[in-house]
Amino acid sequence: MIAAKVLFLCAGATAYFALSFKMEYLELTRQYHEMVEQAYVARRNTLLGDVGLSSRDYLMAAFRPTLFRPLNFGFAGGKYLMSLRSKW
Amino acid sequence: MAQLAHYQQALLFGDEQLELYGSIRTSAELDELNFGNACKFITSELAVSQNFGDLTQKNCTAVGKGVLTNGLNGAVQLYLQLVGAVITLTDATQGVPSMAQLIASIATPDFVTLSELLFWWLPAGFSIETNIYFQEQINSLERFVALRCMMLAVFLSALALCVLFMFEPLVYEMDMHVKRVRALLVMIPAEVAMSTASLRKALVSAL
Repeated sequence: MIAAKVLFLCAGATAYFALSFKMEYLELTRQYHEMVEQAYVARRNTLLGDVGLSSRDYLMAAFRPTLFRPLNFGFAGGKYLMSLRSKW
Repeated sequence: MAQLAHYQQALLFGDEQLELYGSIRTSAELDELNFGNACKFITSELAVSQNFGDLTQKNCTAVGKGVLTNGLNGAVQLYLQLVGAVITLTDATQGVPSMAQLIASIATPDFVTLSELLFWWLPAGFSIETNIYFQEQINSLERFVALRCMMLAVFLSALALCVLFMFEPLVYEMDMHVKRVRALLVMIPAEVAMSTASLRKALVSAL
C-alpha cells in the first residue's frame, strides 16, 4: 500500500516534469522560428528601401557623373595589394 | 530585387532553406493584411508619417488603381513589377537616357505609383505587419507563461493534497506504530516477551 502511494506520487511528478519539458521544447522551437521570421521581416523591409533607392540611383546615374561612389572595401584592398605585389 | 521577392514569398508561404514556416493560415490578422483589404489597417496619417515629402495621394483605396484593397502582398508584387520595368528601361538606354526621356519616364503614372508605394504606403504596411509579427510572438510567450504558471499551481496543489490526505496520515500511523513497539520493548522484559508466543509474534511482525 505504501509502495503504491509512493509510486503514485513518483508517477505524477514524472508526468508533470515530462509534460512541462515537452511544452517548453515546443515553445522554444516556436520562438526560434519566430525569431528567424522576424530577422527576415527586418531584412525584407531594408531590402525594399535598398531596391527602390538603388533603382532610382541607377536611373539618374548618367546625369550625376560627379557623384562620389567609393569602391567596395574588399575590391579596393585587393587592388592595392596587387599594385604592391607588382612593385616587388 | 530577386532577393526581396524571395523573402516576400518565403515569409508568406514558407521556405525550408530559410527555416520559415510561412505566415499564411497561421494568423488571421496577417492574412487579412496580406490578402484582404490592407486599407483597413493602413491609415493615411501613418502613410504620411513615413516620409518628409508631400504625399499627394492620401486615399489608400486609390493607390495603384486600388492595389492595396487586394492586400499588401499585391502591392509588393506591383512594386516589384514597376521596379523591374524601371531597371529594364535603364538597361535599354545603357544607363544614358536623354533628359527628355528621363523626365517623361518620371512623369508616368507607373513611376508616380512606384514612388508612392516606396516612400509611403509600403513602409506603412510593413510597419503594421512587423508590429503584428511582434505582437504574435509576445502573445504566444504570454500564453505560454500563463499556462506554465497554471500547471505549476496545479502540481503544487496536488502535491499539498497528497501530503495532507495521503502521506501525513501514513507518517502519523507509522510514528504511532514505532512508539507502540518501543513502549512494548521498554515495559516488558525481553525474557518475558520472548517466552510468550503471542508477544514474540507481535514484536517480530512489527519489525
